[in-house]
Amino acid sequence: MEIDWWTLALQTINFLVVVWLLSRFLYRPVRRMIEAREASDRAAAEDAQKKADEADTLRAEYQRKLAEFDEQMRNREAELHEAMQREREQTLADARKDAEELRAKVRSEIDEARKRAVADLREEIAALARDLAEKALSGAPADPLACLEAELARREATDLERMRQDLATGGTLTVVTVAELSEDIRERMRGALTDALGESPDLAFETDPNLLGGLRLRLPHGVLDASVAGRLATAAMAMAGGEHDA
Amino acid sequence: MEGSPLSPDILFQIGPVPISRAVMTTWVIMALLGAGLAAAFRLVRSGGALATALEILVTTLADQIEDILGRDPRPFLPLLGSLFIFIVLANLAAVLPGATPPTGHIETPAALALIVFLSVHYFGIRAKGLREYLRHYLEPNPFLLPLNVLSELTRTFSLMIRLFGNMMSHEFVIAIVVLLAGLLLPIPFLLLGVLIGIIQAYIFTVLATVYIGAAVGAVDT
Repeated sequence: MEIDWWTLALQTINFLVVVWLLSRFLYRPVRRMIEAREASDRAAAEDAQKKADEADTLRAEYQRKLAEFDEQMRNREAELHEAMQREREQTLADARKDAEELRAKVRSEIDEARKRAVADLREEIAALARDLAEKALSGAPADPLACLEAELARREATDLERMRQDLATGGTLTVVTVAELSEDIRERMRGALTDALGESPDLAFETDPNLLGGLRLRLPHGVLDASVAGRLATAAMAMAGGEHDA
Repeated sequence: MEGSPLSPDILFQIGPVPISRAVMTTWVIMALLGAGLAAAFRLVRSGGALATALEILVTTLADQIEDILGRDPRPFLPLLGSLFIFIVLANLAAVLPGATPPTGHIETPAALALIVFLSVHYFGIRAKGLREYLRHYLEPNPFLLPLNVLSELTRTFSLMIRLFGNMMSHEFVIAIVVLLAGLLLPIPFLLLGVLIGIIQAYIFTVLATVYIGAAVGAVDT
Protein backbone atom coordinates (compact mmCIF):
# COMPACT_ATOMS: atom_id res chain seq x y z
CA MET A 1 0.00 0.00 0.00
CA GLU A 2 1.37 3.33 -1.00
CA ILE A 3 0.21 6.88 -0.49
CA ASP A 4 -0.06 9.17 -3.44
CA TRP A 5 1.10 12.44 -1.94
CA TRP A 6 -0.28 14.41 -4.85
CA THR A 7 -3.71 13.04 -4.20
CA LEU A 8 -3.34 13.79 -0.50
CA ALA A 9 -2.42 17.42 -1.25
CA LEU A 10 -5.19 17.83 -3.79
CA GLN A 11 -7.78 16.34 -1.43
CA THR A 12 -6.61 18.68 1.33
CA ILE A 13 -7.03 21.62 -1.00
CA ASN A 14 -10.36 20.25 -2.20
CA PHE A 15 -11.67 19.99 1.33
CA LEU A 16 -10.56 23.53 2.14
CA VAL A 17 -12.38 24.69 -1.00
CA VAL A 18 -15.47 22.84 0.17
CA VAL A 19 -15.17 24.57 3.53
CA TRP A 20 -14.97 27.92 1.79
CA LEU A 21 -17.88 27.09 -0.51
CA LEU A 22 -20.11 26.06 2.35
CA SER A 23 -19.12 29.04 4.46
CA ARG A 24 -19.73 31.44 1.64
CA PHE A 25 -22.93 29.97 0.23
CA LEU A 26 -24.53 28.12 3.12
CA TYR A 27 -23.52 29.10 6.63
CA ARG A 28 -23.23 32.82 6.12
CA PRO A 29 -26.52 33.37 4.24
CA VAL A 30 -28.40 31.18 6.66
CA ARG A 31 -26.85 32.95 9.61
CA ARG A 32 -27.74 36.29 8.09
CA MET A 33 -31.27 35.10 7.46
CA ILE A 34 -31.60 33.99 11.08
CA GLU A 35 -30.08 37.22 12.34
CA ALA A 36 -32.35 39.29 10.11
CA ARG A 37 -35.36 37.40 11.36
CA GLU A 38 -34.25 37.74 14.97
CA ALA A 39 -33.66 41.44 14.38
CA SER A 40 -37.09 41.84 12.86
CA ASP A 41 -38.57 39.79 15.71
CA ARG A 42 -36.75 41.99 18.17
CA ALA A 43 -37.91 45.08 16.34
CA ALA A 44 -41.45 43.77 16.36
CA ALA A 45 -41.16 42.97 20.05
CA GLU A 46 -39.74 46.41 20.71
CA ASP A 47 -42.46 47.94 18.63
CA ALA A 48 -45.05 45.96 20.51
CA GLN A 49 -43.43 46.99 23.78
CA LYS A 50 -43.46 50.60 22.63
CA LYS A 51 -47.08 50.33 21.62
CA ALA A 52 -47.90 48.69 24.94
CA ASP A 53 -46.07 51.50 26.72
CA GLU A 54 -47.96 54.04 24.68
CA ALA A 55 -51.18 52.26 25.46
CA ASP A 56 -50.24 52.27 29.15
CA THR A 57 -49.49 55.97 28.97
CA LEU A 58 -52.75 56.59 27.19
CA ARG A 59 -54.62 54.52 29.69
CA ALA A 60 -53.00 56.35 32.58
CA GLU A 61 -53.85 59.64 30.91
CA TYR A 62 -57.37 58.50 30.32
CA GLN A 63 -57.73 57.35 33.89
CA ARG A 64 -56.32 60.64 35.11
CA LYS A 65 -58.80 62.53 32.95
CA LEU A 66 -61.57 60.30 34.13
CA ALA A 67 -60.62 60.97 37.74
CA GLU A 68 -60.45 64.68 36.97
CA PHE A 69 -63.82 64.53 35.34
CA ASP A 70 -65.20 62.63 38.32
CA GLU A 71 -63.76 65.24 40.63
CA GLN A 72 -65.31 68.00 38.56
CA MET A 73 -68.61 66.19 38.52
CA ARG A 74 -68.48 65.79 42.27
CA ASN A 75 -67.63 69.47 42.74
CA ARG A 76 -70.37 70.50 40.36
CA GLU A 77 -72.79 68.23 42.15
CA ALA A 78 -71.80 69.63 45.52
CA GLU A 79 -72.17 73.17 44.20
CA LEU A 80 -75.52 72.37 42.72
CA HIS A 81 -76.60 70.70 45.91
CA GLU A 82 -75.49 73.69 47.92
CA ALA A 83 -77.24 76.10 45.59
CA MET A 84 -80.36 74.02 45.74
CA GLN A 85 -80.14 73.92 49.50
CA ARG A 86 -79.70 77.67 49.62
CA GLU A 87 -82.56 78.25 47.26
CA ARG A 88 -84.76 75.89 49.15
CA GLU A 89 -83.98 77.61 52.40
CA GLN A 90 -84.56 80.97 50.77
CA THR A 91 -87.86 79.83 49.31
CA LEU A 92 -88.84 78.28 52.59
CA ALA A 93 -87.99 81.48 54.46
CA ASP A 94 -89.90 83.53 51.91
CA ALA A 95 -92.87 81.25 52.11
CA ARG A 96 -92.73 81.31 55.86
CA LYS A 97 -92.58 85.10 55.84
CA ASP A 98 -95.44 85.29 53.38
CA ALA A 99 -97.44 82.87 55.45
CA GLU A 100 -96.65 84.86 58.55
CA GLU A 101 -97.74 88.08 56.91
CA LEU A 102 -100.83 86.42 55.52
CA ARG A 103 -101.62 84.97 58.88
CA ALA A 104 -101.15 88.33 60.59
CA LYS A 105 -103.30 89.99 57.96
CA VAL A 106 -105.96 87.34 58.26
CA ARG A 107 -105.82 87.54 61.99
CA SER A 108 -106.19 91.30 61.93
CA GLU A 109 -109.04 90.91 59.45
CA ILE A 110 -110.62 88.29 61.65
CA ASP A 111 -110.18 90.54 64.68
CA GLU A 112 -111.68 93.39 62.79
CA ALA A 113 -114.53 91.27 61.60
CA ARG A 114 -115.06 89.95 65.08
CA LYS A 115 -115.02 93.43 66.52
CA ARG A 116 -117.37 94.51 63.84
CA ALA A 117 -119.57 91.52 64.45
CA VAL A 118 -119.49 92.13 68.18
CA ALA A 119 -120.40 95.77 67.61
CA ASP A 120 -123.15 94.76 65.23
CA LEU A 121 -124.32 92.19 67.70
CA ARG A 122 -124.33 94.74 70.49
CA GLU A 123 -126.27 97.12 68.37
CA GLU A 124 -128.66 94.37 67.46
CA ILE A 125 -128.93 93.26 71.04
CA ALA A 126 -129.54 96.85 72.05
CA ALA A 127 -132.23 97.12 69.39
CA LEU A 128 -133.68 93.82 70.47
CA ALA A 129 -133.68 94.88 74.10
CA ARG A 130 -135.35 98.05 73.11
CA ASP A 131 -137.89 96.11 71.08
CA LEU A 132 -138.36 93.75 73.97
CA ALA A 133 -138.84 96.50 76.45
CA GLU A 134 -141.14 98.26 74.10
CA LYS A 135 -143.11 95.12 73.49
CA ALA A 136 -143.24 94.22 77.18
CA LEU A 137 -144.07 97.59 78.52
CA SER A 138 -146.33 98.93 75.80
CA GLY A 139 -149.72 99.58 77.23
CA ALA A 140 -148.64 98.37 80.63
CA PRO A 141 -149.39 100.86 83.34
CA ALA A 142 -146.77 101.26 86.02
CA ASP A 143 -149.25 102.02 88.68
CA PRO A 144 -150.24 98.70 90.39
CA LEU A 145 -153.90 99.78 90.82
CA ALA A 146 -154.30 100.83 87.22
CA CYS A 147 -152.50 97.69 86.26
CA LEU A 148 -154.96 95.58 88.28
CA GLU A 149 -157.90 97.34 86.81
CA ALA A 150 -156.57 96.95 83.27
CA GLU A 151 -155.86 93.29 83.95
CA LEU A 152 -159.31 92.65 85.35
CA ALA A 153 -160.86 94.50 82.42
CA ARG A 154 -158.78 92.46 79.99
CA ARG A 155 -159.80 89.12 81.49
CA GLU A 156 -162.90 87.43 80.17
CA ALA A 157 -165.75 86.23 82.31
CA THR A 158 -164.58 82.61 82.24
CA ASP A 159 -161.26 83.62 83.68
CA LEU A 160 -162.96 85.53 86.45
CA GLU A 161 -165.31 82.61 87.12
CA ARG A 162 -162.34 80.25 87.41
CA MET A 163 -160.72 82.66 89.91
CA ARG A 164 -163.92 82.83 91.84
CA GLN A 165 -164.17 79.04 92.01
CA ASP A 166 -160.58 78.82 93.04
CA LEU A 167 -161.10 81.25 95.83
CA ALA A 168 -164.31 79.47 96.84
CA THR A 169 -162.27 76.42 97.83
CA GLY A 170 -161.03 78.63 100.61
CA GLY A 171 -157.75 80.39 100.24
CA THR A 172 -156.06 83.69 100.13
CA LEU A 173 -155.67 85.87 97.06
CA THR A 174 -152.20 87.29 97.44
CA VAL A 175 -151.34 90.50 95.64
CA VAL A 176 -147.60 90.70 94.94
CA THR A 177 -146.14 94.10 94.05
CA VAL A 178 -142.69 95.64 93.79
CA ALA A 179 -143.19 98.14 96.57
CA GLU A 180 -145.31 98.30 99.71
CA LEU A 181 -148.76 99.62 98.86
CA SER A 182 -150.55 102.38 100.78
CA GLU A 183 -153.76 101.53 102.68
CA ASP A 184 -155.81 103.66 100.30
CA ILE A 185 -154.52 101.76 97.29
CA ARG A 186 -155.17 98.53 99.06
CA GLU A 187 -158.77 99.48 99.70
CA ARG A 188 -159.30 100.55 96.14
CA MET A 189 -157.75 97.27 94.92
CA ARG A 190 -160.05 95.34 97.23
CA GLY A 191 -163.00 97.34 95.77
CA ALA A 192 -161.97 96.63 92.24
CA LEU A 193 -161.55 92.91 92.94
CA THR A 194 -164.85 92.75 94.72
CA ASP A 195 -166.49 94.40 91.69
CA ALA A 196 -164.86 91.96 89.31
CA LEU A 197 -165.48 88.78 91.33
CA GLY A 198 -168.77 89.72 92.81
CA GLU A 199 -167.61 89.01 96.37
CA SER A 200 -164.87 90.28 98.61
CA PRO A 201 -161.91 87.90 98.58
CA ASP A 202 -159.63 87.20 101.44
CA LEU A 203 -156.69 89.40 100.47
CA ALA A 204 -153.01 89.42 101.43
CA PHE A 205 -150.24 91.70 100.25
CA GLU A 206 -146.57 90.83 99.52
CA THR A 207 -143.62 92.56 97.89
CA ASP A 208 -141.20 91.15 95.38
CA PRO A 209 -138.61 93.46 93.73
CA ASN A 210 -138.06 90.93 91.04
CA LEU A 211 -141.36 91.77 89.45
CA LEU A 212 -139.82 95.08 88.26
CA GLY A 213 -143.26 96.64 87.88
CA GLY A 214 -146.98 95.83 87.68
CA LEU A 215 -148.35 93.08 89.94
CA ARG A 216 -149.03 89.42 90.28
CA LEU A 217 -152.19 87.82 91.71
CA ARG A 218 -151.48 84.51 93.35
CA LEU A 219 -154.46 82.23 93.81
CA PRO A 220 -154.42 78.99 95.78
CA HIS A 221 -154.20 77.02 92.52
CA GLY A 222 -153.03 79.56 89.95
CA VAL A 223 -151.35 82.81 89.14
CA LEU A 224 -152.45 85.88 87.23
CA ASP A 225 -149.30 87.56 86.12
CA ALA A 226 -149.47 91.23 85.13
CA SER A 227 -145.92 92.05 86.18
CA VAL A 228 -143.21 93.62 84.01
CA ALA A 229 -141.03 90.60 84.65
CA GLY A 230 -143.81 88.33 83.40
CA ARG A 231 -144.38 90.42 80.34
CA LEU A 232 -140.64 90.49 79.59
CA ALA A 233 -140.45 86.74 79.92
CA THR A 234 -143.42 86.28 77.61
CA ALA A 235 -141.97 88.71 75.07
CA ALA A 236 -138.55 86.96 75.23
CA MET A 237 -140.21 83.60 74.70
CA ALA A 238 -142.15 84.99 71.77
CA MET A 239 -138.94 86.42 70.30
CA ALA A 240 -137.02 83.21 70.79
CA GLY A 241 -139.88 81.43 69.09
CA GLY A 242 -139.62 83.95 66.31
CA GLU A 243 -143.22 84.93 66.75
CA HIS A 244 -144.58 88.41 67.04
CA ASP A 245 -147.76 88.99 68.87
CA ALA A 246 -149.29 92.36 68.71
CA MET B 1 -8.39 -2.52 -12.34
CA GLU B 2 -4.62 -2.79 -12.50
CA GLY B 3 -2.33 -3.76 -9.66
CA SER B 4 -3.44 -3.51 -6.05
CA PRO B 5 -6.98 -2.27 -5.47
CA LEU B 6 -5.52 -0.13 -2.71
CA SER B 7 -3.12 1.70 -4.94
CA PRO B 8 -4.24 5.04 -6.34
CA ASP B 9 -6.23 4.76 -9.53
CA ILE B 10 -4.58 7.41 -11.69
CA LEU B 11 -6.84 8.60 -14.51
CA PHE B 12 -4.64 11.16 -16.20
CA GLN B 13 -1.84 13.67 -15.58
CA ILE B 14 -1.94 17.47 -15.60
CA GLY B 15 1.70 18.38 -16.09
CA PRO B 16 3.54 16.63 -13.26
CA VAL B 17 0.35 16.21 -11.23
CA PRO B 18 -1.36 12.82 -11.48
CA ILE B 19 -5.12 13.02 -11.12
CA SER B 20 -6.52 10.00 -9.33
CA ARG B 21 -10.10 8.73 -9.50
CA ALA B 22 -10.66 9.94 -5.91
CA VAL B 23 -9.66 13.49 -6.84
CA MET B 24 -11.83 13.39 -9.92
CA THR B 25 -14.82 12.14 -7.95
CA THR B 26 -14.24 14.86 -5.38
CA TRP B 27 -14.21 17.47 -8.10
CA VAL B 28 -17.49 16.19 -9.46
CA ILE B 29 -18.96 16.29 -5.97
CA MET B 30 -17.63 19.81 -5.49
CA ALA B 31 -19.05 20.93 -8.81
CA LEU B 32 -22.49 19.53 -7.95
CA LEU B 33 -22.30 21.01 -4.46
CA GLY B 34 -21.23 24.38 -5.82
CA ALA B 35 -23.99 24.42 -8.44
CA GLY B 36 -26.57 23.36 -5.87
CA LEU B 37 -25.43 25.98 -3.39
CA ALA B 38 -25.37 28.71 -6.03
CA ALA B 39 -28.97 27.84 -6.95
CA ALA B 40 -30.02 27.56 -3.30
CA PHE B 41 -28.23 30.78 -2.47
CA ARG B 42 -30.71 32.78 -4.54
CA LEU B 43 -33.66 30.91 -3.10
CA VAL B 44 -32.42 31.37 0.44
CA ARG B 45 -32.64 35.11 -0.02
CA SER B 46 -36.22 34.97 -1.18
CA GLY B 47 -37.21 32.56 1.60
CA GLY B 48 -39.42 29.51 1.05
CA ALA B 49 -39.31 25.81 1.84
CA LEU B 50 -35.77 25.26 0.58
CA ALA B 51 -34.48 28.10 2.67
CA THR B 52 -36.21 26.59 5.68
CA ALA B 53 -34.71 23.15 4.92
CA LEU B 54 -31.21 24.63 4.65
CA GLU B 55 -31.77 26.56 7.84
CA ILE B 56 -32.84 23.37 9.61
CA LEU B 57 -29.67 21.63 8.33
CA VAL B 58 -27.40 24.40 9.52
CA THR B 59 -29.10 24.89 12.88
CA THR B 60 -29.11 21.12 13.50
CA LEU B 61 -25.36 20.98 12.84
CA ALA B 62 -24.81 24.01 15.05
CA ASP B 63 -26.95 22.51 17.82
CA GLN B 64 -25.02 19.21 17.68
CA ILE B 65 -21.72 21.05 17.97
CA GLU B 66 -23.04 23.20 20.78
CA ASP B 67 -24.29 20.10 22.64
CA ILE B 68 -20.80 18.61 22.60
CA LEU B 69 -18.76 21.77 23.15
CA GLY B 70 -21.14 23.61 25.45
CA ARG B 71 -20.20 26.92 23.88
CA ASP B 72 -21.00 29.15 20.91
CA PRO B 73 -20.71 26.86 17.86
CA ARG B 74 -20.22 29.61 15.29
CA PRO B 75 -16.38 29.58 15.13
CA PHE B 76 -16.40 25.78 14.68
CA LEU B 77 -19.36 25.41 12.36
CA PRO B 78 -17.55 26.05 9.04
CA LEU B 79 -14.95 23.33 9.66
CA LEU B 80 -17.04 20.73 11.48
CA GLY B 81 -20.22 21.21 9.47
CA SER B 82 -18.23 21.00 6.26
CA LEU B 83 -16.52 17.85 7.48
CA PHE B 84 -19.86 16.16 7.98
CA ILE B 85 -21.37 17.33 4.69
CA PHE B 86 -18.21 16.50 2.71
CA ILE B 87 -17.79 13.02 4.18
CA VAL B 88 -21.50 12.20 3.70
CA LEU B 89 -21.33 13.27 0.05
CA ALA B 90 -18.03 11.47 -0.49
CA ASN B 91 -19.33 8.26 1.12
CA LEU B 92 -22.59 8.39 -0.83
CA ALA B 93 -20.64 8.58 -4.09
CA ALA B 94 -20.59 4.79 -3.78
CA VAL B 95 -24.16 4.67 -5.07
CA LEU B 96 -23.29 6.56 -8.24
CA PRO B 97 -22.43 4.30 -11.17
CA GLY B 98 -18.77 4.43 -12.13
CA ALA B 99 -17.78 6.36 -9.03
CA THR B 100 -15.93 5.04 -6.00
CA PRO B 101 -16.11 6.87 -2.70
CA PRO B 102 -12.96 9.02 -2.33
CA THR B 103 -12.93 8.09 1.35
CA GLY B 104 -12.30 4.49 0.32
CA HIS B 105 -8.76 5.48 -0.61
CA ILE B 106 -6.29 6.33 2.10
CA GLU B 107 -5.37 9.79 0.79
CA THR B 108 -8.77 11.44 1.43
CA PRO B 109 -9.20 10.29 5.09
CA ALA B 110 -5.56 11.19 5.60
CA ALA B 111 -6.12 14.69 4.27
CA LEU B 112 -9.19 15.11 6.51
CA ALA B 113 -7.39 13.72 9.57
CA LEU B 114 -4.46 16.02 8.88
CA ILE B 115 -6.76 19.02 8.73
CA VAL B 116 -8.46 17.98 11.97
CA PHE B 117 -5.04 17.47 13.59
CA LEU B 118 -3.94 20.97 12.62
CA SER B 119 -7.30 22.52 13.50
CA VAL B 120 -7.16 21.07 16.99
CA HIS B 121 -3.93 22.95 17.65
CA TYR B 122 -5.19 26.06 15.90
CA PHE B 123 -8.36 26.28 17.97
CA GLY B 124 -6.53 25.28 21.14
CA ILE B 125 -3.90 27.98 20.79
CA ARG B 126 -6.47 30.54 19.78
CA ALA B 127 -8.62 29.77 22.81
CA LYS B 128 -5.90 29.42 25.46
CA GLY B 129 -2.75 31.07 24.13
CA LEU B 130 0.37 29.13 23.06
CA ARG B 131 1.98 28.72 26.49
CA GLU B 132 -1.21 27.66 28.22
CA TYR B 133 -2.06 25.30 25.38
CA LEU B 134 1.35 23.59 25.41
CA ARG B 135 1.19 23.21 29.16
CA HIS B 136 -1.67 20.74 28.89
CA TYR B 137 0.78 18.22 27.39
CA LEU B 138 2.53 18.25 30.78
CA GLU B 139 -0.68 17.50 32.64
CA PRO B 140 -1.27 15.75 34.93
CA ASN B 141 2.49 14.97 35.15
CA PRO B 142 5.44 16.08 33.00
CA PHE B 143 6.51 12.46 32.68
CA LEU B 144 3.40 11.82 30.68
CA LEU B 145 4.49 14.18 27.90
CA PRO B 146 5.53 11.35 25.53
CA LEU B 147 2.29 9.56 26.11
CA ASN B 148 0.28 12.73 25.51
CA VAL B 149 2.10 13.37 22.25
CA LEU B 150 1.68 9.75 21.24
CA SER B 151 -2.05 9.81 21.97
CA GLU B 152 -2.32 12.97 19.91
CA LEU B 153 -0.79 11.13 16.94
CA THR B 154 -2.57 7.83 17.39
CA ARG B 155 -6.01 9.31 17.68
CA THR B 156 -5.46 11.19 14.46
CA PHE B 157 -4.24 8.00 12.86
CA SER B 158 -7.23 6.06 14.18
CA LEU B 159 -9.54 8.77 12.88
CA MET B 160 -8.04 8.28 9.43
CA ILE B 161 -7.94 4.51 9.49
CA ARG B 162 -11.50 4.15 10.86
CA LEU B 163 -13.04 6.05 8.00
CA PHE B 164 -10.76 4.54 5.39
CA GLY B 165 -11.16 0.98 6.65
CA ASN B 166 -14.92 1.09 6.80
CA MET B 167 -15.40 2.58 3.38
CA MET B 168 -12.70 0.52 1.72
CA SER B 169 -13.96 -2.72 3.19
CA HIS B 170 -17.49 -1.89 2.19
CA GLU B 171 -16.29 -1.29 -1.36
CA PHE B 172 -14.57 -4.64 -1.34
CA VAL B 173 -17.60 -6.43 0.04
CA ILE B 174 -19.76 -5.03 -2.73
CA ALA B 175 -17.18 -5.87 -5.37
CA ILE B 176 -16.95 -9.45 -4.07
CA VAL B 177 -20.76 -9.81 -3.84
CA VAL B 178 -21.11 -8.52 -7.39
CA LEU B 179 -18.48 -10.99 -8.55
CA LEU B 180 -20.14 -13.90 -6.83
CA ALA B 181 -23.87 -13.20 -7.10
CA GLY B 182 -24.51 -11.01 -10.10
CA LEU B 183 -26.34 -7.78 -10.50
CA LEU B 184 -29.37 -7.46 -8.20
CA LEU B 185 -28.12 -8.95 -4.96
CA PRO B 186 -25.78 -6.05 -4.06
CA ILE B 187 -28.71 -3.60 -3.77
CA PRO B 188 -29.28 -4.26 -0.02
CA PHE B 189 -25.55 -3.86 0.45
CA LEU B 190 -25.69 -0.53 -1.34
CA LEU B 191 -28.47 0.59 1.02
CA LEU B 192 -26.37 -0.61 3.92
CA GLY B 193 -23.53 1.43 2.40
CA VAL B 194 -25.68 4.57 2.59
CA LEU B 195 -26.26 3.92 6.30
CA ILE B 196 -22.60 3.15 6.95
CA GLY B 197 -21.54 6.27 5.05
CA ILE B 198 -23.76 8.54 7.15
CA ILE B 199 -22.76 6.83 10.41
CA GLN B 200 -19.04 7.11 9.59
CA ALA B 201 -19.46 10.79 8.69
CA TYR B 202 -21.22 11.36 12.01
CA ILE B 203 -18.53 9.47 13.97
CA PHE B 204 -15.71 11.30 12.25
CA THR B 205 -17.33 14.71 12.88
CA VAL B 206 -18.20 13.98 16.49
CA LEU B 207 -14.69 12.78 17.25
CA ALA B 208 -13.20 15.84 15.56
CA THR B 209 -15.52 17.99 17.67
CA VAL B 210 -14.50 16.22 20.86
CA TYR B 211 -10.80 16.68 20.03
CA ILE B 212 -11.29 20.36 19.34
CA GLY B 213 -13.40 20.68 22.46
CA ALA B 214 -10.64 19.14 24.54
CA ALA B 215 -8.14 21.52 22.99
CA VAL B 216 -10.18 24.60 23.75
CA GLY B 217 -10.87 23.31 27.25
CA ALA B 218 -14.58 22.72 26.77
CA VAL B 219 -14.53 18.92 26.93
CA ASP B 220 -12.57 16.57 29.18
CA THR B 221 -11.10 13.53 27.44
